Amino acid sequence: MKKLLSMLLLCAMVLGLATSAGAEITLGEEKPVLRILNYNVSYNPNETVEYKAYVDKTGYEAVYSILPSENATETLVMNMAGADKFDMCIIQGADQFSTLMTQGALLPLNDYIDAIAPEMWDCISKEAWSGVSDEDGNVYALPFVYPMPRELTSVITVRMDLVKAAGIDTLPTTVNSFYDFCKKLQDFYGDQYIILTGPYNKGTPGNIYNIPMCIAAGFGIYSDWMLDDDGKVIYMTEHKNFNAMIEYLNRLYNEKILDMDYAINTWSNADEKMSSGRAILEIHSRESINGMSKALFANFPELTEDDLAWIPILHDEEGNASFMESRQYWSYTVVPRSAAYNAAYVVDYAWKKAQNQTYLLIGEEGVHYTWDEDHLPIPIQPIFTDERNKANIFMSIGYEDQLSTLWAARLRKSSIMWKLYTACTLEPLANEPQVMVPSPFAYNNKPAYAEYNPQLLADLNVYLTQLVTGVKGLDSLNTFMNDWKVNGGEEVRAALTEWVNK
Amino acid sequence: MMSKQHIPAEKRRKRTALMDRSDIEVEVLAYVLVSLCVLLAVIPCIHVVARSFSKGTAVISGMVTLWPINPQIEGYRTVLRETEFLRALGNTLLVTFVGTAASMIASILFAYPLSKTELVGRKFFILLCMIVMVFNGGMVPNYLLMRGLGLLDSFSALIFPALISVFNMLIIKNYFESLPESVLEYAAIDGAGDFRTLVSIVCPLSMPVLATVTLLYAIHYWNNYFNAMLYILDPYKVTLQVFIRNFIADAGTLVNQLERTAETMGNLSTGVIIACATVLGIIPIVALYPFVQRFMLQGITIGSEKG
Repeated sequence: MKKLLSMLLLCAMVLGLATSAGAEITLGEEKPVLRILNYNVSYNPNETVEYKAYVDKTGYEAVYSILPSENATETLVMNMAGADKFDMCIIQGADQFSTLMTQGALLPLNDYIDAIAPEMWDCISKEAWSGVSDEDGNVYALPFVYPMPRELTSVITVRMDLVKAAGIDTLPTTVNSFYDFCKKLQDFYGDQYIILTGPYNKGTPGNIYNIPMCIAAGFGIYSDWMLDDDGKVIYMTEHKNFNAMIEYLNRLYNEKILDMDYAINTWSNADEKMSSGRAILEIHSRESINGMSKALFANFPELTEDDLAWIPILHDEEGNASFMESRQYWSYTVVPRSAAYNAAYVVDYAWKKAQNQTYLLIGEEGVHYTWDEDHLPIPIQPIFTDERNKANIFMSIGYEDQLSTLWAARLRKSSIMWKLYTACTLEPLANEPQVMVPSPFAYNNKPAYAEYNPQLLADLNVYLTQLVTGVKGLDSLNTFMNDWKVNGGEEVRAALTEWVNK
Repeated sequence: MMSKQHIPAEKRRKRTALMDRSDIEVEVLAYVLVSLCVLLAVIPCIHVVARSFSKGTAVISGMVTLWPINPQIEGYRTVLRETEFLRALGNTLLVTFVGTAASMIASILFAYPLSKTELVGRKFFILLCMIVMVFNGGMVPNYLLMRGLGLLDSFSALIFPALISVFNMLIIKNYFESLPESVLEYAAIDGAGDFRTLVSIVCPLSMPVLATVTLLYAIHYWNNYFNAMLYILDPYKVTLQVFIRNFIADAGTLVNQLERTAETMGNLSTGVIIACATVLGIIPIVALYPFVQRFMLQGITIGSEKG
């Protein structure tokens, strides 16, 4: 199957080379209607208000097709091999991009960017460009980077009414004080409540862990792959504090502080327990705070937003903590080799979108948003959501340094989400910006990483759950690492080492 | 061995009574087991229906079991008004009606000659059909075929690959073979050609099998997911099953869209929206099923008497 798909892509590449060789890069007077294959969304992009705004600002009409949610990669590859079907594709997932790039199905865009919009090179960092380039510097995508890279995305939500009733006034800041905090709650409430429910295993693909990363931060653990003190690439299980972290989490579980259903909970189960009043603390992220808090307030009308608080990150006894930046791609805009004759228009379209990104992403000042005293946008509802909620899927590349500011408008759609973001990201990072660790492997496009790491991460998450819940002990670590090596762990390490050295 | 006549009347009566009692026990046991099976199948459906009518906050809290909590129809209103559900439903109905009609015509026209023993090369054609039943080109060759025929992003791509199901065609053929030869001979004597005989004599006599096979084709087209997922990327042509799958994967976006004011926030949740889309998706088949159930039952045995 894979060989067949590869052969198809090879044919497409040869065809593309034949059609594009020697072509002069210019824009004609008449703009073509661009045929776009987009990643899966639940609505028809052609019918949205946002699409019409993009047409108005760029002057380009487009016809969107949608990849299915299942078998997306196979469908994508077959359509890319289908000559002259799409002028551009907006895809998600490093594996999809890596597959297309390594198989030679994508058109290098350097010459087009140089000819049409050389200023585009300044939109994103060199690191971000390098992740969509090959060894020779050929750029194969216009990436839309994740707009909020510096965010503490794994936090603990606290029912302050119950905490105060237990005679506790302050929230813990270290892993040890957190344990004492939980013990006090348990001593006070006994079995009446689940003290800490979770995990929050939902979020950006490839960045989801079955352990609370806000607690792992206090052990210096921030990712599956990290650099040790000597700059050597290590896996999470090789970190010097891994055993201590597991023992800590296992103690929480054994002492019934951690939810006894921890191994089988989904994020929605955890939300159920918190919102129905069965838990005091919940590990999660801002993504589900709206629904969970509204359900909680509906079930307990006496509660208000002030009765919720957050523990954004825990430290070690020296006050150190590490949480990784989410520097990755939201989407990739790529041009099939077979569509080289319209590549200049694709780049022009992307560039016009970047130039108008404020209007396209958050609308018109005074109509869709206003500014606060910190120069962060405040959305005007409901028009902001009505006319800009889906704006992000249409973007191709944007000015990276402005995106997190613009994204603030989207977080402010609800007061509780903004409250969480303020308490868990804005305030902590203003006080201690050093807790955010730049990802040493950000934007890496190593084929070995794309090929092996999804399965390695899935295996790691299963193993972490087994360790935390005591199904397996730390004496099984050697067996796990042997399996890890068989499944490509060392190949990924070599690839990441090469990436870091580069 | 003792014959029945030698069993005393009293003993025989007791044995009959015992058998009756045993029959009743078996029947009760059967009812209990079947009821349990029915409950196992029905309870999840009731739960989904209850979720679809419940307020979002109740679903998030896991409070909904078999009865809606804070009943509302906001979820249905949202799915019907704010999504492409109706368009997808229309597309599926179109494909189902046109596909079923085309499949029936093609299958009948294929089955009738094959039911004639005097057809030259009959065994060869049947062998070809058997090969198709066992072997399949696979996803990529089928895709290339559809692309070569220029059928991608067209409803034809959903109909042509399924135009003739060999299994259904053989059911029809076997039924045709079971029709009395004499009736067909009378038609020939009266001057009817093959086509006239097929239309005026064979098809009316074969209504039970044709109704059953029509139903089988209709269900196939209604449930068609894989081909629709692979060949249709145009959002205007997406069919219901693919719509529901894609919608479930991205329902959170719609919920975000609706949580634009403090008043609407919490009314809906991803769980409510998904439940509504699921319920709406099965309503047409559930509504139709009682009327066509007997054809389904016939379909299990029909055409199997011969061949």
